[in-house]
Amino acid sequence: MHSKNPLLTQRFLILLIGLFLCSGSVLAQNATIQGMITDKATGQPLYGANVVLESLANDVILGASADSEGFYSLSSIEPGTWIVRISFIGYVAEEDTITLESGENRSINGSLRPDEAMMDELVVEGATGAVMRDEGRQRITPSDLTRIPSPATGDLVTYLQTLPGVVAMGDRGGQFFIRGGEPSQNLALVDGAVIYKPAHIVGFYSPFPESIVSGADFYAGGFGPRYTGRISSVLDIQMRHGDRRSFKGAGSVSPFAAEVMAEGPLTEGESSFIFSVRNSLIEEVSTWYPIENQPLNFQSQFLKTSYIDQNTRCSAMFMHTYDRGRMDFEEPESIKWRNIILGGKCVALPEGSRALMDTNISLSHFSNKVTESEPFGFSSRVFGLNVDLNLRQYIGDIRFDYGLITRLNYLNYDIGEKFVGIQGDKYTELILGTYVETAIPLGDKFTLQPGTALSFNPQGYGLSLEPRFRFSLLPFGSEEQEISGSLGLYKQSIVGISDMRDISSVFVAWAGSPLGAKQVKAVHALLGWQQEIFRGFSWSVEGYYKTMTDIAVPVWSTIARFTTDLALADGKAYGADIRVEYNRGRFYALAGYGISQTVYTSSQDHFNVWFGEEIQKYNPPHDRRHQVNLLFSADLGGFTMGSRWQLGTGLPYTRPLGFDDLLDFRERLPDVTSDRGIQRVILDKPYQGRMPVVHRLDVSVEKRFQITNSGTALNLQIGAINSYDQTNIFYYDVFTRRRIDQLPFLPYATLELEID
Amino acid sequence: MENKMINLNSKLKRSTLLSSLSFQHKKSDAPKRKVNIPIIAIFLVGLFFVLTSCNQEFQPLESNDRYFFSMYGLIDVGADTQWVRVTPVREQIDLLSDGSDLKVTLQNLETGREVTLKDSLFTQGRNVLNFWTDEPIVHNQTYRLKAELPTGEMSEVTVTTPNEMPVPKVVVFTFPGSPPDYFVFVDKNVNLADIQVKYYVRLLASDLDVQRIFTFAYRNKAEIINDFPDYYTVEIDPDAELKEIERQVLLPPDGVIEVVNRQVYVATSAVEWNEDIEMLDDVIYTLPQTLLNVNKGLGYVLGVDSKYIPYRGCLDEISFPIPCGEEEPFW
Repeated sequence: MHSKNPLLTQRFLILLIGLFLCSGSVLAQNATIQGMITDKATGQPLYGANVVLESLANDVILGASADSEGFYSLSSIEPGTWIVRISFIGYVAEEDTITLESGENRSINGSLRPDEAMMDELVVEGATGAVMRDEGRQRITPSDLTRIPSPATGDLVTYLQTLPGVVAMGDRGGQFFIRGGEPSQNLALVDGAVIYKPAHIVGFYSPFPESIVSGADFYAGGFGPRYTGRISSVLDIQMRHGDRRSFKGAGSVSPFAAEVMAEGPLTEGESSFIFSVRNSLIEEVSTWYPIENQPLNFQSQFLKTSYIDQNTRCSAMFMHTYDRGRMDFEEPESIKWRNIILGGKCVALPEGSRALMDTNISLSHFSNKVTESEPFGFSSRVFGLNVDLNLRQYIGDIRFDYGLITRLNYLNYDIGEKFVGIQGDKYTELILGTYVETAIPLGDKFTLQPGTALSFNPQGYGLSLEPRFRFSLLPFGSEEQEISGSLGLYKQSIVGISDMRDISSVFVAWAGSPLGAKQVKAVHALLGWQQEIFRGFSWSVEGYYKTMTDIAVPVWSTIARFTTDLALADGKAYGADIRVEYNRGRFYALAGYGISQTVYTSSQDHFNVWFGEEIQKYNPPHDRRHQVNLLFSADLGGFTMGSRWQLGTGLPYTRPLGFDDLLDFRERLPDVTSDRGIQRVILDKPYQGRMPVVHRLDVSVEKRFQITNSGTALNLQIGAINSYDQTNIFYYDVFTRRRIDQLPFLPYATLELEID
Repeated sequence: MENKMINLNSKLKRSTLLSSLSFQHKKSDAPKRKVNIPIIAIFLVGLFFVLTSCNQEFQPLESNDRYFFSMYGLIDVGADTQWVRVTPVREQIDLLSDGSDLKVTLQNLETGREVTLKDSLFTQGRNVLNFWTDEPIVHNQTYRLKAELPTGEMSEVTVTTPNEMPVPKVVVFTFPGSPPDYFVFVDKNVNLADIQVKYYVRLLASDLDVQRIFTFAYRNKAEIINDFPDYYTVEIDPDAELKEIERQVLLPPDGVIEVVNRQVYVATSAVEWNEDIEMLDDVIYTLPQTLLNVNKGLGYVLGVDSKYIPYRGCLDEISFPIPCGEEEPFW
């Protein structure tokens, strides 16, 4: 949105001020404490750690929980003597007595030691899943990742596929469609740096194995103004810091991939490193299996060094990923993609400061390429520089998040096709932006979080405002029942063009916003309910309604070739995601169900000639109506058993009516003895057909063999993908009239050695 | 203690709301619920068998009675052999059929004479199915080209051949000090369907000797101008044509392009050519409805009269430009 309406800005500011005044917060002479809670060994922030102040003078107890940076703040503390207790499940609690003066502001950091005796309890009782949600966010922990039966033994993308609003196309390609959005509309961040393609070509692997991930915040929608530049979803991944005190390592091998991870101190107690290398084996090993060869190859490398002291956590990170393979194993066409990311991050809480500062600087490079025979093929590259400064602080009970954003993107693509020639384009954009979000408690039950992002693109859309509101309501005064919701405007200035006629089309041509520098816009409205029915058993439901305008879609045509000719479409997506989770003792069970409908409306001149109506309304190819995920794991007799059953109803496809080679009369009369013609498919109206339902069951059994008392152990997992050998369609190629299926029944064994 | 907990809850919420994790000890210990495991197990086993036994049929190709065959080509009075491309549209692009079950006929609707065309499967990167006949075609007649399968699917197109075209002429204007200018003149009373220049070329190198035909289209440049009001006139450019051939051909260092012959091809049709078609972009042009005259099918078949003439000027005894006469296609 251009800043055409100053009234809007004015009203927004008035509202903010009003809410601030109404909040009842009093900036009195009470004391304030804040700090960071971290793991003593790694310096890792302990998300969810508790800080409790207990007054020695009366019965008052105050408490706070640490956020994903380990930051907490407590205000409105009456002067006096307090017992401060810092605790987290699985860690040895710390306790101290402090005396706070009137108006004092003190930093109290906590560095907790893991309590080995309680680690099992951490796994089974840490709040996860259905209750770990608010305002559209899903907190993902490493222990969540390990529950999914997969040869990867814990991987972020495998877990993402269990979330009801996430539609994965199949077991290769690494494409995710979230609540009606397209992959290029998802923002993925790794330690604050943008990663354009956060998945490997084999669908249950990504560059994010459980061993190096600290956690992730996943927003299927309704995210706050800190995240800009994408309109669909956010996956904010935090990578682990290495151990500052001792060296550790792990290695694993399965028929799909081999992996090595190591970590340790650079300077004991101060700085550390962690690295991970993952390489695929499936291309080689599939020749041994009684299945068709799998020409799929991936690798990723990750290195992070960290320097951590009491008030500062700084890290530098390098990540490289490479993928190559064929979506249709019988076609020569091959796709490659590569991510290269360099990032630096500092989180600091300066002594005496109330503001937590999070600074990120990163370089992200992404390239993808489809090749058949040189020089024909498609290629696209993105180079991005991001610098941002984010601050969080409390004034009274009101939390302020604000910051500055600078983004410089260079994008280009070349499309070279036989008999057509090569066309390409390039685009550079500089975006300067700022954002602010506040969390204002209105009484004890209601918290309102208004905010906005403001950005400026000097060459493009100019000034742009993205107001967003979120709220949380505890109807019964207890966190066991919570209603949350959000409403916000989202904009995206760059577009990723894929050939929508074929959903498996993994290649993305990144380009500037087409047609007059209009930004793609979306409005998200979310309303959710979550409830813990009894300890370990919870459920949540979240409904959403999303409108999208000016989505760039390729011009719909009958020609069998990639096109970057774009038209605009408007879309809406609505639905609900339901999760029921049981997590107690030796059992874990999760049932997820998502229902959704996505509708695009596009007006293209030639639709009138083709279909008799200029405007066509259709369900885009990622419109999965129903999705079910059932997950069950149990620890029995020293074995860990896991199973996952997933079902997705059929995706839309366009029904072909026939094929021919169209001869061209435009320049001259054709000669049928020598002219080949333009390969053409006669299509029905867009996406009127539905492919079959896909479903499969993955199972695994794992046994851990402790080798030494220090922690060295061997894990053996055996399992099977698609246990009942369901023939699941991956996609249907309308141009060759061929059906390409997903993986058949595939048994595997994974051996993992942990060295401590 | 109760007071403490209430206070704790209210204070805690302000921060936990913001970071979304609740205290463990605050949550109530509800009694364990009894889960009926056998019923769930039976349900799951039943579901397993239901799912494993069902494999949904997937028939993506939408059956329809709109398009049976794709038909392209020319019914050409001037040609010795008629070639048309006929493809069953419901078959895969990589055509496997040899056409043996497909009957393609050409009938003169004036005389009622009907001939069956012979099939010929070509591979040009992918398979294409052409049909041909050496039946003589007559001017100013109406023909019906019909393709049908024994199962009853049938497409047809009716075309009319034009009157005989007067032989076009090539005129070469020479001016001292500059290269000659070539013009093609076609009688303005015809419906001009095509003007092409064809180069018959040998590509020669130490281990290469191939023949190629290069075609240059000029129909879009033909116009009736004031200087020659009785003709469609088009200027052709030999230098540009040769440069384009050199650009298109990638030869080894010792390679040579030998122009063996060149001809001008002109065709007329019974119906006036729609010049708007020349301006259509790919998206519009490739729509099934854009260029369509086949009934229950796809494609376009045109009745034409064509002539090949020499790429040179001829003069009469008073040095007036005259047609050089017709030629057979060189290759």
